[in-house]
Order: sequence, then structure tokens, then C-alpha cells
Amino acid sequence: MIKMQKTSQSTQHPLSVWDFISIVSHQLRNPLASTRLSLEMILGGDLGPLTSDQEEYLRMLYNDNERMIQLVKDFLTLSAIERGDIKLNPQPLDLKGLTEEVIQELTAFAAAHNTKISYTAPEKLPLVIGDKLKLIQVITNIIDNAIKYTRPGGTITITLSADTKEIKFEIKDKGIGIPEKDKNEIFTKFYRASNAGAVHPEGTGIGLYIAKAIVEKSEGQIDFTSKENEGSTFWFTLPISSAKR
Amino acid sequence: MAKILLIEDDPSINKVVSTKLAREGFEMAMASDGEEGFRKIKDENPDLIILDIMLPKRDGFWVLEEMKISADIKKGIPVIVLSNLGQPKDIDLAVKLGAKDYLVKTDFSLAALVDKVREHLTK
Repeated sequence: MIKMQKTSQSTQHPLSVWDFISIVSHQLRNPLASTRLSLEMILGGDLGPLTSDQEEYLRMLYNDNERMIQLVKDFLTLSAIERGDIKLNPQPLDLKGLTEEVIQELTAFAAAHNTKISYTAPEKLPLVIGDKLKLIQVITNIIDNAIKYTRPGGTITITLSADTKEIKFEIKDKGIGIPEKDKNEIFTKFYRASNAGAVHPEGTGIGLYIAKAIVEKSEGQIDFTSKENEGSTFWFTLPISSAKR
Repeated sequence: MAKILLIEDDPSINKVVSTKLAREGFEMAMASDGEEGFRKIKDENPDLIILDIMLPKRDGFWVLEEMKISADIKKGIPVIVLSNLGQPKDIDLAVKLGAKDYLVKTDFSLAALVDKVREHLTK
């Protein structure tokens, strides 16, 4: 592991690269939060009316800032996983509500990629057990991937279903798919499929690694099927809570 | 008009949160470190407190502890924590020390904060 030495003489513990990433990510949260809140105020009309051009550009800034926030969250979670310090706060959760919240958040991003999101879920679903913020991160990463790797004009289909023990989240895209040779490595940290860079050059390769770590720590399962040039279907399951809705 | 004390050292977050809440009709008081915050809880007698955790001089956990043990502070003032720390252990500690709500800075919207403030003021 790469080690860095703290400059302070008072603390002699070596600072790992993961500690460093965690510190930097924490420091980025304040400016990202104040940017988000300021843009929310301006876009909400609190500081006066906007022209449609101004609104369009400010929305673009807002969406880009949201993406930076997501990256920082991913890096914080990654550093916690690597330090063996990932802690979950499991509680009964409405996975349907969380999914709808994330779809709502990502609608503008999907529209910018000219991608439609189709969503189907039973009217009522039991609660699952999971950590709310971490599961939002999982769902965001998985939908975000499907949007990024779907060709413009395409549709991604999200389906929720349940049996007696678990709820299944499934997302199907008609994107570039995953080549056979990359399938065993797709949940590996920093790994990107050999055809991914051509579509989305700046990906980090940590989204699915984080998703797998969180889902498995939540006692669920995650996997996928895929065919190159035809698309992929990713799914994960979470145990149903005994708590009543 | 309900009075809110915002204890937050980041000037940008301070400005945007206080401006929004003032526009929503709340009277605002501000402090930028834990010691000043604790002093203003006594001096300003707020109806609700919004508290950052990582603060200069004394942190937000210290403020929560002092609020519990200090005899000359009115009990039961609702505290909403607004922090960069999002680990379950931080949230658990703040709640154990008396915080009514905990929002992670990159995960909340101003609209949600205004709703939370109204919710805790009417409880």
C-alpha cells in the first residue's frame, strides 16, 4: 500500500492513501454543499427572476455540481471500504420510495443523454433492511451507469419485484454491453470494461465495486447478465424487514 | 416570529442558510464557533438551533453536551445538526446527546431544511 507521512511532528502514524482521500473528500463537502444550496436559491427564484438562458446554464452547473457530490461520496465510501471502516446504519426502508427519489434526481441527467427511464413496481412492497444513504448511493451508481452506457435515444427499464424473503431491483439497458473477457472483473475496483472508454472516457471504475460492497454488507446479492453490443441487466436483492409498513 | 440560532463556521453556508430562513420569515442569530454558539444559546434564547459539528474552538458535540448539563440553559430547544460527518457513529452520538435531527451537508436541500425547521418548531 502507498504510505504517506504526516508532516506534523506530533503524530507519527503513517497516513495511508485512503486516509488522504478521505480527508480531501471531507474538505470538498463544504464548498460543494454551499454551491448546491446557492444554486438552489437562485433557481428557486429567491434572488429574482431568471431568463431562460440563465436558468439553462445554472441548471447545467447544478447538475455538474451534483455529479461532483456523487464522486466525493464514492471516494469517501471507497476509502472507508479500503480501511475496513465501512459502517452501515441498517433500518427498515422503503426501497420503492428510495428508487423513485433517485429516478427523480437523475431525470435531468438522463434527458441530457437523450435516454428515457421506464419504471415498473408493484403498488405496495414490503420494507427492506438497509442503510438509507448508502443504498441511495448504490441505486444512483447503477442507474447512472445504465444511462452513461446506453446509446442516445435508448430506454433503460427499472423493475422492482418481491418474493417472500427479498426485494429485487433490476435495471435493463440496451447499451454497449460487457465483453465476455471483462465479465469476471466488472466488480473489481478501478476496472473498466474494454469497450467503456470509447463511450465514457472519464469513468472511475469504482461505482460497481462500491455497490457490491454495500449490497453484500447489507446481506443482499448483486449480479448481472450482459451481451456485448446488445445491453446489460444488473440486479440486486435486499432482505425484507420484519417491520410492518 | 420564531428565532433560529445558526452555529456554522463556513461563511458561504452561513450566508445561504441564514438568507433563506430569514426570507421564510424566521429571525436569525449567528455564531461561527462552538464557544460563541454556546454563549448565544444563553444570550439569544433561540426557539431552534442549527448546529455544525466541526467548528473552531469547541465542536458541536461539546455544544450539545453543555446544553444538557448547563443549569442556565432552557431545556428542550430542538437542535438540527448540519454536518459533513455522515458516519453512523457521528449520527448516533449527536442523537444520544440530544439532537432532534441530523442532516449531512451534501445530502439536503434548502426546501427540506425549511420543512424540518417548521416540523420541529411545531412539535
